[in-house]
Amino acid sequence: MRALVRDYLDLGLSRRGFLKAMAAAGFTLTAAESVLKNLAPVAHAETAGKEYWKEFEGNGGELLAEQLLQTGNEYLFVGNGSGLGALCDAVIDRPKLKLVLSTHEAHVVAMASGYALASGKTAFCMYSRVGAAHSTGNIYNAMKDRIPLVIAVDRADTTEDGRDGHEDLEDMLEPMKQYTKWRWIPKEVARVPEWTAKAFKVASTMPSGPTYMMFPRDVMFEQKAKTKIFLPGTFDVPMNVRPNAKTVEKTAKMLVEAKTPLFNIGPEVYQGGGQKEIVELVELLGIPIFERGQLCQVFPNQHPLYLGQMRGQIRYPQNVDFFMNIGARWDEANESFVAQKKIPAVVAGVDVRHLGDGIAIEDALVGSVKESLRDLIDAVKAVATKDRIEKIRQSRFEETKKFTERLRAGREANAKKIWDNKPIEWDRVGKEIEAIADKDAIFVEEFGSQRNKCMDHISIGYGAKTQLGRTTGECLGWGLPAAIGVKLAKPDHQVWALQGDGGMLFNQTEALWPMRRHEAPIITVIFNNRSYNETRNRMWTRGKNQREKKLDMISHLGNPDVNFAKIADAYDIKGEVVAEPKDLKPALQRAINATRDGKPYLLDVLVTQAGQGANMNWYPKVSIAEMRSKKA
Amino acid sequence: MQRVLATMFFIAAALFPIALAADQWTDMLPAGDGQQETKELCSNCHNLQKIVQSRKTPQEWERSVNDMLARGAQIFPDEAEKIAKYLSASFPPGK
Repeated sequence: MRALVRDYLDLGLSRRGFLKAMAAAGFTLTAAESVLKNLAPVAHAETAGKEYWKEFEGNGGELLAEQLLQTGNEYLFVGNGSGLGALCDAVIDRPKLKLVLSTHEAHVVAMASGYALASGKTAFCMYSRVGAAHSTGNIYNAMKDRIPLVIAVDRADTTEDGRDGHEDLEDMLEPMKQYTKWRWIPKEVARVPEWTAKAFKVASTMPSGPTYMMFPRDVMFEQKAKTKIFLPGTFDVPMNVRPNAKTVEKTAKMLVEAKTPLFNIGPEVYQGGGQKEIVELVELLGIPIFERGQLCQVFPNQHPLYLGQMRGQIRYPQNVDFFMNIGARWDEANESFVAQKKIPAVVAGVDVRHLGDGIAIEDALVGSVKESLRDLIDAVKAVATKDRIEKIRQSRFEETKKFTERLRAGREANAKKIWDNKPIEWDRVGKEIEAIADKDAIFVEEFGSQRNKCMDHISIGYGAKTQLGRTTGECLGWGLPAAIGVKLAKPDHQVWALQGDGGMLFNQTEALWPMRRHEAPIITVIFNNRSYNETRNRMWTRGKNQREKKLDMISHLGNPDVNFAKIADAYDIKGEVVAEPKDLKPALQRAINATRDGKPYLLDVLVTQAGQGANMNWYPKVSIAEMRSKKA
Repeated sequence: MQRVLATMFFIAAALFPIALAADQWTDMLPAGDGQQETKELCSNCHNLQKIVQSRKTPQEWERSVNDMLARGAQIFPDEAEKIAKYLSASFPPGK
């Protein structure tokens, strides 16, 4: 009945259809009519007297601001540029809109991305068109991560464009084609609100992603129009799309009848709001579960059914006879055990362009993952008795629990063994953070291959702490500004920015500026191993000369030996270098105390290198000073 | 004999720099206690090129295997110990 009521209220089911379906479900006509009578006020309230737009007269900047007010956005993420003048003028008279400023366009996009990820809203950012090139790394990240962003830049006057003029190229939309879902140049001032509303609609409709607009300066400053501003609720496409009912029933039967089913889930489960449902479903049937994707930890990582990151081959469980991929992109799928052993696979999600890439699909649940999982739970309960479900669950759950407990015990023992090592071990930093962090803390991380050494010791995922990042696209230079956006969305949560030194040196030291300017009490921890550890390992594994001659050509970062605490000091942010293992815990406490007082804090923790070529600390020297023939 | 074959294979690979398939690296593991675990457990996450081409002390091999454990490899501690011993014996420095 729950599903029928929802269909009726969503206007997908007529009154007659509702009565017919209720009768088919075994309800009397009187009972069905009684339900309809009770629903009538709710159903009519949906549309009665609804206003779709209002009229407003103003220049392009004012029309843009008026439309932005209707999107529910309080914060506009901006960079500096004279093309933002008309918007700035409009914001002065609209105090509901607040500007969050960064000095670098890539950080504007990352702040907006973090805000969108943590709030679930579509974020807006604007900066100078010549800064757009700077920002593409994080637009690429947003596209890969399906983050709903509306990105706006300025453009030359409509009377001057197309002449390769001042700060202009002939086609400045083309470079954004691969990074965005939709692009537009609003050249008619009367249609600025319409196109802005469209940009929000396209960006937010799942699979979501960035949209891009270039506002000509004359449209923004001088041109005026009286036109329609679209009101809230008129430019959202509801994505609570339910999957095909027959496919749900078929999948439920396969799940119940399978001896060894296995799940793989991805970020779409977080973005589609299905975390609670995935935990409920796998617990219902005792299904072991992997994750694929690094944008966030979806499933609780300390849960007995959680097996870790999905690989091409797996050790456990063996003899998988049913596989479900829910909201994950899995680029190794065609070489995986699923393809090799021809395991029947059902995929679920809205990202139809990539749904089931690389594997043969038995069937697909196309729709919201939340709705699909909810319907699957109901269907499983409908096709099997409570006793049968419990019997299925118990044996699987216990077997998987034994396996995961043994693995975790091994990792714990390993961490204990290396606890006092110097430089400090990643495992120790993870465990010390876990012991001291708030229960609802949020971690924004941008690690490489050493990630699990730290994050496996922190309870993250649904019902535990939250982890966002690293980006799927892995374009470094995202984490710190993204953490600022996260803190803005969740000011009452403790927010940690966890970074490698390599990632920090990809432009991110400037992100300390907006962190200080906007007084964002964030704990930044730099895992400083003075190396691009991941790339060194990858190169040395596949290549030969560096490995055999033990020459680290491009991965050593120890010269200059950057002191990130000193950099923080330049931005008026307190920080300290932590070199001794015993000093870590009190330093973390000082950082927490500072953030409780409303101030950001930075820890530069000297951690271990690992793998091939670790601790070589050699690099090919090119000294310009030595090239001189005189002291010039 | 297997070790001789492995060495010959390694030389051939060096002379004719073509990419070897993942299972060819696996075939280059010499016989010994721990070979099976190395073959099955390590190759779940990566091909065995980095193992076959590395030469390390027992401490370094132990460190490498424990590092994999810490990074999420599905290996139990007793198996990790066995693998580390096998790799120390099979791929020591200077061999």
